[in-house]
Amino acid sequence: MNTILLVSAVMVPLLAAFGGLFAFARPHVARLLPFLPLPALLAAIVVPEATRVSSSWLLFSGNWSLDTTRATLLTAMSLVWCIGGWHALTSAETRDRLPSLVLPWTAALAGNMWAAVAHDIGGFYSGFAVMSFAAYALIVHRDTAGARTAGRVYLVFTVLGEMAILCGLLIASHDGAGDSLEGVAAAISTGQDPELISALLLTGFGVKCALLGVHFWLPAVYTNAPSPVRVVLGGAMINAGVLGWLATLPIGSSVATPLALPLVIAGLVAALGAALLGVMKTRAATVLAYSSISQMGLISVLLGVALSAFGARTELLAAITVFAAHHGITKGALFVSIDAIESQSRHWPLFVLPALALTGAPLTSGALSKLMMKHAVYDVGWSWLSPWLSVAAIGTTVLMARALWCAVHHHTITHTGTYAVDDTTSSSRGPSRHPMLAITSTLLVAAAVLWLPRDATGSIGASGSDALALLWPIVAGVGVSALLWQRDVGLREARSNNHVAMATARDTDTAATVTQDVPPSLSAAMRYARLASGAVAHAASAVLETSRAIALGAVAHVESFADPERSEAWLRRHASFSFALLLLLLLVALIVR
Amino acid sequence: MNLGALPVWVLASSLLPAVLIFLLPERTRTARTTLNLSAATLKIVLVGVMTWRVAQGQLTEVRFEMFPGADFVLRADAMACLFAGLSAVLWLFTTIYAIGYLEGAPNRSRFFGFFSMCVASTMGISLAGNLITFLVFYELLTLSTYPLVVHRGSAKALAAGRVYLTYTIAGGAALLLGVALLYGVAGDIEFQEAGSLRAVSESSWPMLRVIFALLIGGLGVKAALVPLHGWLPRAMVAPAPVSALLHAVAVVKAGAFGIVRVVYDVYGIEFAQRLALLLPLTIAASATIIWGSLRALWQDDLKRRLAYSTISQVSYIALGVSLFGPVGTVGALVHLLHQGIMKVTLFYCAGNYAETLGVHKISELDGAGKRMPLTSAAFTIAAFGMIGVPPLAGFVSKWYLGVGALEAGMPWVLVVLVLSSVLNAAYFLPIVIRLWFREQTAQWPEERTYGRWETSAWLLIPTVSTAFFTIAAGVLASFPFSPLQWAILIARRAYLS
Repeated sequence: MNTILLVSAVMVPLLAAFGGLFAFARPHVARLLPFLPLPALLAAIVVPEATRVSSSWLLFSGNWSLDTTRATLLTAMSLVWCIGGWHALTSAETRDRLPSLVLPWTAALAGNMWAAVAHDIGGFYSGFAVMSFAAYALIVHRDTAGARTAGRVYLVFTVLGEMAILCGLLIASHDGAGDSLEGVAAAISTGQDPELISALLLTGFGVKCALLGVHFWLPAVYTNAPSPVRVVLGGAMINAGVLGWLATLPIGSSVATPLALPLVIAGLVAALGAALLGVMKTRAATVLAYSSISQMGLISVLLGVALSAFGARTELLAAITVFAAHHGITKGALFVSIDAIESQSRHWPLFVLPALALTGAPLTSGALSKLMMKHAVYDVGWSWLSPWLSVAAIGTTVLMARALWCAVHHHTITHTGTYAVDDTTSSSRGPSRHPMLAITSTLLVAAAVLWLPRDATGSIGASGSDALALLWPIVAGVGVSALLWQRDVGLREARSNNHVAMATARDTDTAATVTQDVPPSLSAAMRYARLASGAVAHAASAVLETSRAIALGAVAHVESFADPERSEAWLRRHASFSFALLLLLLLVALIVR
Repeated sequence: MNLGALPVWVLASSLLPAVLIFLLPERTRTARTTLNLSAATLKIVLVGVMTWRVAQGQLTEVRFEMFPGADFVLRADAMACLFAGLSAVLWLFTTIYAIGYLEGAPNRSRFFGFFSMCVASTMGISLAGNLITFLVFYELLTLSTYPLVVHRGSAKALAAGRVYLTYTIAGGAALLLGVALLYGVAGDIEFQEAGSLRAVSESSWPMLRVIFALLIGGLGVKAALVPLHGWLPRAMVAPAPVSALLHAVAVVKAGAFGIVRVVYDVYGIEFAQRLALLLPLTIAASATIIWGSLRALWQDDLKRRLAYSTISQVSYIALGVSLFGPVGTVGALVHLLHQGIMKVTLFYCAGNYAETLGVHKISELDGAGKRMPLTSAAFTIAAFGMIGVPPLAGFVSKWYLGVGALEAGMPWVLVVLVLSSVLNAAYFLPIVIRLWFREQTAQWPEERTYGRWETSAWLLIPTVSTAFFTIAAGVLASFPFSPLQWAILIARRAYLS
């Protein structure tokens, strides 16, 4: 019985994808979208760890089972896929062209589920690749200029990421992992090139879960993808990357890796920097994209800690897993609710609970994961991180306030640059059918705290001191938001009408221009940095960009919104270049070692 | 039936139809089609029986003396079954395809006659038991493919045919010289697992190196190793089924298979390593892989892009051969099959677009996915397979080549593999995006409708079948008698002794 359940978790979506190949079957399959992840959900809940499925006929023997980490993540992922499927059926953006979404949607779902249960290298990597490439079709579903640009950027990063993963797995397999995914961690600990494999896998899977430096595709993609696609990208597929990290990297092994500290620092920079940048954006989905980068920064921090902690495997693994699951469900609910708010702003209360959960308010899944995180970090002696995590929580609060503000004022803000979306779809929306869905997803967030494993701390922030520690960043964040709101940073001009026409006219060709234009004020410095080296270019331009964004925000000039966009497009382009360079450098390291 | 003469039966199952088809008058379409298809089916059965027997360890051999000191040898060994199996399966599909493709075209009798001749030569090449027999069929292949390349008879086709002949005859001459010199050094060389040249005295090692260069040079022409690849993109004027056969089974693959035979069964991989012959081959193959991929990027003609892609992909085989170690061998042999399946699919698709829509250029393919979903799905699968995306066939090859490179202590080959994969993605993904995500902008240049399906069923069935094999060979890679399992069996035998 358990075996059948485990197999059907993957096979049901796969069969649906097969049906999606035929035009006549597509409308029927489309109606099933919310139900296809149910076998996986059931499997995640009831299938015990001991159940194993393997077939000697499959590539690398196929070895499927669910341990605690995978079961937790799979529960979150399949829930998000259910919500996303329901959203796809009801959303004005997708419901009319649903048949064309069926095949990539089911393929991405099947890939995601496959990766979630496969313990062999071939199966996991296959599922991951199928999911990644099918997602392209979901991203460009709207077929606007912005969506195409976003799709292209996504493909470039995905292909490079796949290559990094391939190399990492190849070297690990050669170093003794054979064809088992768990063997990779052992091969990293005992093999001859631990840093190299770790670096390749970190960046490779990092593409999916927005590791600093390979995250550049994410804001453009979240902004331009249809709302249901954002839900599954930001809520479910992102966790496949996290799973890739957790399944392959030697967490809590006895060999410390020199990559741990850089990873922690990169995570902190992402957590704080993304909050700073995200607050400047005018579109709720973009703000949430930056929030994802910021949250994933926290996961990088935890992972960095985990890679340097001797023996603390269980606790850190649990902290990361719970955090990722919580973030997935919450982010899915947030994307659903901003879509509801953008069609009718009176739905704004739906945003509040998931937003509070993400900031870590007491009694939410966020509180649980934040506390697990802090305990884990304390226990292994990285307590200096604690204040920074609180600062990150302030950033999250500000981002949430900003996202809500943008969603409510959706129709009055002018958008420019790559984040400008062809608004014909959203303005011509039919009556909204979202509230029920949004309410459900919000309730899910509320319920999440009940099933997330809690053995690590036993507390969900109900004690006084914990509640205080969780609450003050939120209060501070609300204060900062109020301050920003009062100063009306950069929005007054943006709202004036004469820019609307201009921006709409630009919509069609902005995507083309933004990728080519280099902001003149930055070009000299940035070119110089690029010449120096790809890696230095990352750091330098991120610093430049951040300081620039702060300065521009203070000036509150309308152009401030156009320019960061441009510099970001520049970054996207050159980041992929330097990513390729990094990949090459890693391989050169392999040759000369 | 006398199973001992099985290799002869296999050879005869395409040689006899060739003769019969030449004798049939042009208009007897039904008889010719029946003959073609039943011969192709029979051959699959025969090769299947042969493979089964080889797996059981029964090697069959037929030999007689051509002239004193040189035997004509046909032998069914594991390596022969690998190539014969590929040829037999793809011959059936390509015959079906060609029947649909040439519907109503002139000179079909001539075409199918030479088509069968060409397959007979390929069978001979795979079954040849020594270098001299191999050489005979290798030259026969050149002669039987020339009429196919120039089949359309246009000035362009004739010019391409001339280039083709020049290259292949020069290559054949180098090969002949190599074989003759080797005969002088070591006598009649039989193909034999783990090679047979180890016994040659050390004083003639320099000579053996020269001979190796000659043999690989001669074979490299057909295998399209850079800089000997010039004929291949030009031969694109041939009809689509011919291109499919040329690229997947017959000519290019014959060259690659020859390299496999020379390294494993003449020199022996361990002896070749001792003679330091493998590294130059690795370098030549790597250069070809990169060069072919780079050139493919700039082609707008679909078949030309596929041709440069072949140059690059076939060299994966030579690359795997040159990686010392059983894993590299598995990579090479499995890619011999996988590249055939995937590339034949791509050429079928190119032919479908050309026949149905009149589209030859990539820039005209916008929106073709809507008009021809099955063909475009097949193209997408094969293209992803070529890039090496799991769980498709190409990934299995790439994985074994990668691990093989590491085992052989040549991690720099990984850079070649990654670079080539990225380039593959760069020239295949834009086509896939055009097919599915761009709206059709102009009328199709020359559209034909075929009733119920998007194109003729004769064209569609082979395309979809080989695309299915591309998935199956990857997902079910551990299935008994899968390409991977057969390659592992051969590799085990090549290294055990």
